[in-house]
Amino acid sequence: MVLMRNFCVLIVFLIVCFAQVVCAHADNFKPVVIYQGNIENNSFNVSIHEGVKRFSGRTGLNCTEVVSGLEPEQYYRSVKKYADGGYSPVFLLYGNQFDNLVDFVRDYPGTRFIVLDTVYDEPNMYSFVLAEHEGSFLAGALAAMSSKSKTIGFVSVADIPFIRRFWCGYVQGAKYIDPQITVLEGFIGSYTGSWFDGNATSALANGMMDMGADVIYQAAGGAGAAVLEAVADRSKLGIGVDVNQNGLYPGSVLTSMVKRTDKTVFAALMLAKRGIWRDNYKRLGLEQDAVGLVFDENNKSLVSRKMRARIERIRKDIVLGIISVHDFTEDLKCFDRADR
Amino acid sequence: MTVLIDKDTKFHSVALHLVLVLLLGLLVPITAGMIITLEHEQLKLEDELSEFHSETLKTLVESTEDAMLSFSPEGVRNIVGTLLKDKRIVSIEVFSEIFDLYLLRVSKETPDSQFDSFSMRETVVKDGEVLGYVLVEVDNGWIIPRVDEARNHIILLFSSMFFGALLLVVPAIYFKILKPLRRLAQQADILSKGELGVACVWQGQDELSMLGKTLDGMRSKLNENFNVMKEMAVTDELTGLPNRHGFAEDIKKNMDLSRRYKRPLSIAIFDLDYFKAINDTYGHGVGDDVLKEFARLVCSRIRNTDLFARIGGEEFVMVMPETPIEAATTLVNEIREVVSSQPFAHGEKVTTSIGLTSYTGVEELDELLEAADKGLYQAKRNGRDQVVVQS
Repeated sequence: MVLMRNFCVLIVFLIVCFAQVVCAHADNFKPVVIYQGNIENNSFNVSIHEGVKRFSGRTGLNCTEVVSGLEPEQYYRSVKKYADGGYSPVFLLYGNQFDNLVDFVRDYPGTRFIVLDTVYDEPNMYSFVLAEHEGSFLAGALAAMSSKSKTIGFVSVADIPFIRRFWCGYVQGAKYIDPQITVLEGFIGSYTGSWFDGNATSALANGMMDMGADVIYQAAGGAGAAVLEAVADRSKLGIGVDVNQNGLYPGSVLTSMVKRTDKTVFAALMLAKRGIWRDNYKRLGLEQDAVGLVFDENNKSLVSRKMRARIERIRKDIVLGIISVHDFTEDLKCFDRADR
Repeated sequence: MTVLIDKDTKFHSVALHLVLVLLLGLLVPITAGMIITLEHEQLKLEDELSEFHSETLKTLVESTEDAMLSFSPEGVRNIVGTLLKDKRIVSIEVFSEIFDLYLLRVSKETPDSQFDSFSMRETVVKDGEVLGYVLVEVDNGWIIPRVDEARNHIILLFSSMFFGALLLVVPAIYFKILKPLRRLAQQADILSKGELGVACVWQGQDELSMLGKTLDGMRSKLNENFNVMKEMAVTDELTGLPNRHGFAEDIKKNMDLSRRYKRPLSIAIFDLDYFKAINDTYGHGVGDDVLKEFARLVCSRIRNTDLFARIGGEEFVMVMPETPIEAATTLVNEIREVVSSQPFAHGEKVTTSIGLTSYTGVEELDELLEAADKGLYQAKRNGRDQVVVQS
């Protein structure tokens, strides 16, 4: 009898354990989004925050939002803290923000990590990639159409593959319109606070304008607004990034290459909430309206109907695969369409 | 003549009428058929397009359901990429309600190439949850070149039908109706002019040929009757000699010849003596027999060129061309003697009194006959059975 009862208890215990293992991921929805620096001054962070807000509003579920310091060490500590605290999924917004990320992730096999814009082949890492190269292609095309000096520029911070995607798409777009066009490039380099170092980026932009550039695309995060300001000061054209920056310097911002990171984060949260972890990699591009150019009242005078129609046609051709935009991160090389 | 013209006009209007009826009878159904076929073709194409539209939508709904649930744009992209190769599709939208994101949104439309498109949208629902929607726009303009092509084919087909029918019907109408009608009209025209001698041969067994045959039969019958009547008009029925009518024409001709060539011409009038008494005594039958025998007797004696006619009850006239009065006197005397020398049918002899005169080229026929009549009167007065020459 006692043996029988013990056996039953054992069976029930085993069943419960097994069920817990099976349901572990689904039941454990405790998301955390960890920002670096602050939210307000970084358009990228603002966009993510939008997505989180929309998710909470729609589902009524909470999502923890944490702001860490700018140092990679600070960021690493925040991530470790929440991973240890049983949070899952953990949103690593900047992907490659600290060293040994992959090793770190392997230490937490029961925790799911969601990274943006970077792809890792780890079973508990889920990558959401925006096709910035496609949006940048359109930005390059529009820049080439607008440039009178036939020299355009690209300003960014860290010369890393992720940023090179922007640059590469931009160059391809410009050369698609005008194979002879000159595309200047400049990176201020990676150092603490570099993503907010407007002085360095504006100096770089001024240098390019001295060399004849009349349209400059910035993919410089918090240091990007300074580029647009420098360009506006010299009555040249700038191209915004991440969010709609057309209104920052109306008449001087040709367009903005928006990344709907908010949509990406919303979709990622929704997938996590629904426990759908089928693919480790999701890509969002022009066809989802996840990247693209903004045409509004602020740049109406800068973009003619004809230019707009041409951009629409290019967008359609990219979506339909008639134009294929090379992604720099695939092979760390930039194919120039004109050279192909 | 008026009747003839009327007939002519009528004939033309028949041809015109036939042509009009033919054109109308061919054109109206052919045009109607063409329009109906065209409409049908257009409807068929429209149906085809709309069926394609809903099929596409159905395919999309089925194939994107899972992609909407798991948010996999890649899967959708492959399907849409295949679908978009079809010219009819203008745009496709696959929207995931759950993730508040387009899985895919693509349009072939640009500001410079607009389509006359029609869109259908279907919400995708699974287990009571709205997953999102699928929207497909198709190009209504797709059917336009196809309708045009179909119209060209149909017009070609129907025009060849029309001209083919004309090619068959027009010669048939011409040869079977218009030509016989014209022939009939000509035939009637000839008939109406009194040309009864012109025959018209009809072959074939159709109504118009039969009519033509009937008409020709009528003509030949009329011709026969007319000839008989003409004969009757110039011939004395009893004796077979020309009567006053028949004789007048010939004598005039002889007088003309005589005058023209200054040739002698003599005329004699015979009258049977006491003929009334024969009639009264033996009856009219015998009288007629006497007249017949007399005529035969005289005819057997005269020359071929001489004319002999009965111009009254028992009065005969004889014209002798190329005969001077002396020779004429001898001739008629011979005849008188032959007549009076033998008995007639009733067994008695009959004598004849003769007045003779010659034509000088100036007298009218009446005057000439009057002169001969005077001679005859004189012969009667002188005791009958004799010849009196009256100059």
